[in-house]
Amino acid sequence: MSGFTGFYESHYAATARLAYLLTQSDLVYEDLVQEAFTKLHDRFDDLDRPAAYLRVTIVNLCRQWHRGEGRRARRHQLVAPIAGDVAPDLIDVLDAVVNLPYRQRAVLVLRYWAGWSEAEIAEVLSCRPGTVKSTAARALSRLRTELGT
Amino acid sequence: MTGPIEHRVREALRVQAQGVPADGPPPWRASGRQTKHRCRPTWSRPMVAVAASIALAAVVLIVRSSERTEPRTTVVAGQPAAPAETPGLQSTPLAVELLPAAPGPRPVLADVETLVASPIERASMAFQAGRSRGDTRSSWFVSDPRAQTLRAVVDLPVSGAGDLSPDGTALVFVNPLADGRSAIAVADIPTGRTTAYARASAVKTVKWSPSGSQLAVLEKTDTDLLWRATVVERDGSLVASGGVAEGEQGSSLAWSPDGSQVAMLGCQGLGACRGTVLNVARNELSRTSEPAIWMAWADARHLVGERRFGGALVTDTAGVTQREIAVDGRPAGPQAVSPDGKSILMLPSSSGIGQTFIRVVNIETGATTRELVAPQDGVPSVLGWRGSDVLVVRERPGRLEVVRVRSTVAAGEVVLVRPFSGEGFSSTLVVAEWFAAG
Repeated sequence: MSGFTGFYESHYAATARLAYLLTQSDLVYEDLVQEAFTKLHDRFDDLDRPAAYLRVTIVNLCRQWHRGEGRRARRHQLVAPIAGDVAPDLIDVLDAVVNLPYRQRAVLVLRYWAGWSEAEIAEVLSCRPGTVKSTAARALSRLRTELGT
Repeated sequence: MTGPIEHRVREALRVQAQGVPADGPPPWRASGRQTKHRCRPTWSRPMVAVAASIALAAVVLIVRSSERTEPRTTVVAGQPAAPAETPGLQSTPLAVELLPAAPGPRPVLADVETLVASPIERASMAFQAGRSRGDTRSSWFVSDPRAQTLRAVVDLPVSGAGDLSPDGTALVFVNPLADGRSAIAVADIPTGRTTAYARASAVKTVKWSPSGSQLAVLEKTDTDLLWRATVVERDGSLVASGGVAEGEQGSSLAWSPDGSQVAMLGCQGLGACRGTVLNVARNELSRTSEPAIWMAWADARHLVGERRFGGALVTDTAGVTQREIAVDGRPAGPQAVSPDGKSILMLPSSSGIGQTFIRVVNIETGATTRELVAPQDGVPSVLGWRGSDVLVVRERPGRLEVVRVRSTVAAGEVVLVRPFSGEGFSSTLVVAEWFAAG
């Protein structure tokens, strides 16, 4: 149990950030993180790579949430709760990223924020690395169009 | 090689992830199901003796509580009401000291600082501003639209959930306590005096009853980990409490117009949500069967909700009769239902590029009665109603405005300029009922 608790404490913050970026919701990301760790807790002793299981779980939970209420709930949010001194052009980028389909957004978050390899992203999204590459290209192309760059 | 757009995406995400999570990880607590599954204890004689003592004490408590005449009871969806104390909830409020604000300037624009001394007897809107998530210098501000003034009523660390009393004289908000629990605090707006009492550690929403005499709290109790709608008097004393089913997550709390019922949603995992209605006086629960992502009241017997995959539906409180509002688009959130319960605001389903119209739809007939032009391109954030007009948030460089929209052509009237700078944000904006009713 202490092994799980230590894992939980060391992986909580990064998992929370990932869930927040994928959901863009202050209201749900903590619940999703808790749910992911709960699922992991059930199987923790049997897993060789609990970190891999955790990241697959959190990405899938965020996707499930997003399919339902995420898109609409986000529209009701009055102001994106952005911390720090954010330049206006970065706010435009975030707005454009938020408007991407979940899969494209997930690829950008996992690739450019989490720094995962295409193979790792392909694993959690259940697709081929080539698909990750093409999805990222489509997402960036769409951002360029929206941002006029 | 990383091109400019990749660079901007990386930087934007890095900035946005700052400050998440606001605090460290909460203490790990496995659910009851897991505990039973993985940690089944071996019963020793002392443990059996302790368990027997606890069971005996529980029987005595149940017998005593069943002798009460007041409906201070709790129920769980799918189970009959039982005259037992809500686990983890105290019928006698426990007054607490709120955490003090950290020293330093408030994270809002300088021109607002000059307005905070203006007296406000009756607020029309309230919002929270802070530097970042969980900022200990965040504040609640209230607005008097006639004088265009703002006043800070609470200069304390707050979590974001809050509500204005229907008459605009009091603000209730959630305040984190040092021991990990949350406090429900009520601030009297004319005097600024605040009273607070402790609740569970997880409080998602708090709402005033239509009369302003009671509060409904959506919280997850620390002992049984059930999401509940708990109704308390203004002084914090417990009136009634009902929970969604085990394993469901509670959301979307709403009082019925007559104040006799409270509706909430219970969501099974990340799947469909079902409405749960708590009759406050009788302490009974009923369930609606139709999935929705939020619900609001049309009248004392009918709820309006948004379907998970678009469109709006009307259902009765027993969940027997349901019908769709046959209009393209999606409702503009729980605040889309007009104060008289007759109309609902519908927005386009698509992201909306260029001019957007907000449709006013009759809930009974499904007919579009009016179309209002959004005050800026794209799908607007609708705050709610102001008489027969609609309050919408408009973004302007460096600030946000609340605009009253009343026609298809006019640009709308600005009723509140909210402070917002690169260092501040607002996570909540609530409209008092007296103001919404016009």
